[in-house]
Amino acid sequence: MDYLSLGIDLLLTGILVTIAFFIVVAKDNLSAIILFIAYGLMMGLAWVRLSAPDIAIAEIALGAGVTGAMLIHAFAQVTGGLDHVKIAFDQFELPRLARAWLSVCCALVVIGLMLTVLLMFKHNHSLVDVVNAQMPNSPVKNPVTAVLLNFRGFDTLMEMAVLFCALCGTLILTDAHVPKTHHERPLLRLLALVLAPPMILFSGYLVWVGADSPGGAFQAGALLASAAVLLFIAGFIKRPEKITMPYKVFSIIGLGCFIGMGAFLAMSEEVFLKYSSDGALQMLLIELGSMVSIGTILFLLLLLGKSKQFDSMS
Amino acid sequence: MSSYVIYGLSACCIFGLGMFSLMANHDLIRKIIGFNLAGSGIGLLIVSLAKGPGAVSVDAVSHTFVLTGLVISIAATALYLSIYVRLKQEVNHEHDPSAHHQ
Repeated sequence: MDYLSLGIDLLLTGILVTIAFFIVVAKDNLSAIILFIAYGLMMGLAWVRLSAPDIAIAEIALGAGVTGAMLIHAFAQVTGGLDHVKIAFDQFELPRLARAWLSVCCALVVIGLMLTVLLMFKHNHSLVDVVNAQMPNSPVKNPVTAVLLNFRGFDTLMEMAVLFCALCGTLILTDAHVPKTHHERPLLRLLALVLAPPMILFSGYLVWVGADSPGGAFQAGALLASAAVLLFIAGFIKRPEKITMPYKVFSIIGLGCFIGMGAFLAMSEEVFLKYSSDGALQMLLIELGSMVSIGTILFLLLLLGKSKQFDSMS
Repeated sequence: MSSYVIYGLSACCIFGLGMFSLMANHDLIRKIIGFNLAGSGIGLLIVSLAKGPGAVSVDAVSHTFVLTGLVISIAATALYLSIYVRLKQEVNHEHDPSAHHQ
């Protein structure tokens, strides 16, 4: 192994651990959130170094982008009017001794994990050989997409269900308020006009190319959600006062396509989600439904939770 | 020292820092950030362990685990944040009933 890649790896992991340390010891919440977004971007680079480009795209789009945006929305909603409000455990600050003891325990856990890493890497317990043996039978050439949709299709089905449940939970808990004023922002409108159409096009491309190269439904869905948020901020999409039928249809279509395709295959192939000779087309249909659904669900998750106060300031 | 060992060790540190933030920080948003940090560290650990010696091809199953875990952490974070915001609103309403409900 040459020194250049060793140097890059050491530098990258050094940056990652340093950012994580400063997230923990940050003075106020906004610094921690912004550092977290920077951490997500650096993690994307780490994923690329570990030969995982699918995870890199997903981490930057979802981990840094969507999670960062959600944290900032929640923070913006809570500061302003609700800053002075203290929940019971806000006032409970750990005494110094307890904090020190806690850090010692965490350090012991970390050391134990490190020993495990150093000892365990000798044995390769993964399922790589099983997957590679089955890859010629799979309609798609990208192994990650094959595992996601074909070999471990149930997990992805449950994942869509989890997203939908999170949406239901958020819808129950928060109220959507109509903004009082709407400020004109011509530069933002221009940005949205220029950026949103290529983003939507590129998300379709990501789904299509996910069969053979890094890509797939989740990355495409995240990109679609980002385009929707951009259009919303610029004012092209109005905030939904109540969740109307198009939103409902788009949210459920991912889960619906999955279960529907599984049921159809159960009738024709006698096993739920056993792909027939037309496997690539069936997977693409499932992925298209998932992409639309993920985009809508992430967009709604980002939106709901803005209060009336925040809207009047935007 | 191979690359996966470096990433594995730093993943342990990130996980430890995330867990510490989750337990020690008193503000709820910092706990949520710590939870995300810990999840990300575990993902890094899984993928770097899969890239051990003798791994000639890409380990798709580990990548899928991490991808699924990433999406589920977002769903969980969204739910936690809406609980957090609603909690602050309800406590505000309780302390100051004259304030109009946010």
